[in-house]
Amino acid sequence: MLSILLFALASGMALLVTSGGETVRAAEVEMVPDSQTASPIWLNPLKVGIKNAVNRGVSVNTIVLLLLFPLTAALVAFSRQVVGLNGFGIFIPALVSVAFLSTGILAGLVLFLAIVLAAIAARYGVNKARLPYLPRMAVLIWVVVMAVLVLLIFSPALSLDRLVGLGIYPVLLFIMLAESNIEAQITRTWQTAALMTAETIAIAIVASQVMGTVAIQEWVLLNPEIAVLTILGLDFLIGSYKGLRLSEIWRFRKLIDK
Amino acid sequence: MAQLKDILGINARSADFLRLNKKSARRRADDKLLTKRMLRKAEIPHPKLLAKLKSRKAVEKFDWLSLFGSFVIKPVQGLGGQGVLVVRKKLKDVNKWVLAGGKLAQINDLKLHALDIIEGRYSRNDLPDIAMIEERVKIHPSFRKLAIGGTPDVRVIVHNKVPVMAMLRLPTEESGGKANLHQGAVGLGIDMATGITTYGVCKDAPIRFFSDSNKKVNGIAVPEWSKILKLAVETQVASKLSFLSVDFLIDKEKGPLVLELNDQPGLSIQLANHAGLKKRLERIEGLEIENVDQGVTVARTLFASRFAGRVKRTLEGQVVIRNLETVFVLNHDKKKVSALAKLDTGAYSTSIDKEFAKELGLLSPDNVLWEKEFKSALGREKRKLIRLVYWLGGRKVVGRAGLSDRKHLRRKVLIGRRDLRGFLIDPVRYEFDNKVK
Repeated sequence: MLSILLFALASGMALLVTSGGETVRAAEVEMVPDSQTASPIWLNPLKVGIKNAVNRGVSVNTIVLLLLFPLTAALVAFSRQVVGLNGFGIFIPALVSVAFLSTGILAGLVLFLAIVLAAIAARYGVNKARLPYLPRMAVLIWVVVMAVLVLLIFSPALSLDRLVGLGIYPVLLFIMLAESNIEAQITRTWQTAALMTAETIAIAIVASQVMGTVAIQEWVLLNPEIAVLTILGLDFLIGSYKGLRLSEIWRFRKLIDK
Repeated sequence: MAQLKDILGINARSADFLRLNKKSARRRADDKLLTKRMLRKAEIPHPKLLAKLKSRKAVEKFDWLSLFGSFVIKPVQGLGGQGVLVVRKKLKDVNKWVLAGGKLAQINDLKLHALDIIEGRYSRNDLPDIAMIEERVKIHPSFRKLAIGGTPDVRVIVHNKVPVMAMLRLPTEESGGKANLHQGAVGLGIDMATGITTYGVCKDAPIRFFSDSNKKVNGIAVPEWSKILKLAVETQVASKLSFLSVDFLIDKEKGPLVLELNDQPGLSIQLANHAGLKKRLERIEGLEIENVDQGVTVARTLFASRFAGRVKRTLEGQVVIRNLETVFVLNHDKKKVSALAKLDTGAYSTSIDKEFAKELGLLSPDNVLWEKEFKSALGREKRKLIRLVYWLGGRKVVGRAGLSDRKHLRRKVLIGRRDLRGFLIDPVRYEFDNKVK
């Protein structure tokens, strides 16, 4: 399971290089004046290394995303440990946020809705056929892909411009989310599944907004050492929070003296 | 009521308490068969295991027709009450069983359910599982009116050999006969000192009355409370878990039975008790509890509710009364009439003044049991015996009384040893004596 997720993670990174090109263009511009004031390698080893790599043709995009993905993961951890939003683990919200970054929020939501509706419809159909697990999932994916295909065919008519230039990876990531949704429907109730999916999407949208902010992109690119260490520190800080989560304060509000 | 810092949240539960639970002990608590074996070794009462079915072949070979009484089919590795099939009884002469909801099941339905369990439909991670058939408890009379289609259970959270918090869980229509709170069951907080319910919660919202009967949720006395507390501590010691909840069913004849353990109990119990778990856990941290009884005493002392001092009960559930009490006698018209009574442990049977009994209409022929010869300090005499129903110290007593002449005495009823089982008499005569003390 983990290896599949890691593969998807790698593909998610690749998709931004291929399809989300414009997202980090602003940061690229900033690199040029900074390169004139040469900083010593012992003070900024990461920064110097990144600069050399970019000069040799490594995509700035990939580097910015690599630097920001840990921040997304920290955000997901924060929303679980401190806010109390559950979502589907850490990989799915983090990856879906990358998908949102690539498709834009509106187009992403339309795409996801189409995939989930198709998956739910397919599930009810397949349930009657009583197939074993893997063939059943294969049929499910078939139906979902058909739905995406139909959506793509009609997207010019629906004037969803971002969908026209859609890559395959956001689709795959959204299918993963839909699969988790269905699994939750099977093991728990559909209400819980809907709630967890909504929470996942909320976390992913916030994270994608953070990743998409040009100022943040510039800052991590110009101060990679501080950024990387700060994120690591944040992770430990979040992990050591033992107080009540925001959702729990709400849950136990009637217990508390006024 | 509590303060924010008194409440135990998920983060603190994991970081401070679940970490103390060893992995091997946790695995045992998650497996109902291993739990049963542990309880058997520790000689802690638990529901009887009728069969365990490990394979398709075992399901076919099992003699299903041998199941007559009430029983439950459930997964060994189940979670949150899923996959539990409750069977009430077998119909006479036909091979059909009545389920808890009132539906009928054929032998094939039972087999199918067992096969579903074995294939792992209800197990923690979809892995193949074992189906177990367990004897169902006979519901305790004091719970009969509270339970809807299921058996109430009592959950006690134990840490460091001290029972910390407890909850009575009552199945509802919505929870489908199951006692799990997240399935819609009602949870009632329990005062640790007396075993009497305090507040209620249903789906995370506080309730004061049962929605179907409009009865109050507080004031229900959990039977055999002392034994429950003791068994909870014994179970914790045997389980080697540092922080856990122990779920009890209370059988009419066998008393409290340990149903299962949970190494990460839910936190709603705080809502049902209007109290924070964290505060309670902090108060017992570092105490060196030497034996089971000490742990129980600590719990009853530290976690007593404010009303506990007013409850006239001893720790063993005996009602404390004075030797001069007012009783309420049921008259011929089924109305309660108050009367002054004297408790006399020197007398074996109860007697009532003849005139007074006549006034109440208790001398009607259908109420007279028989005539008997009495021996007393004044010699032999023949007395009539009548049926007498009365309330003493809030408890209903159904007994019989001899007729005697107490015309010149203030106390029209004299209660003898025969009716005093379960009471403890405090020889202080009047309120006045109390004040002198």
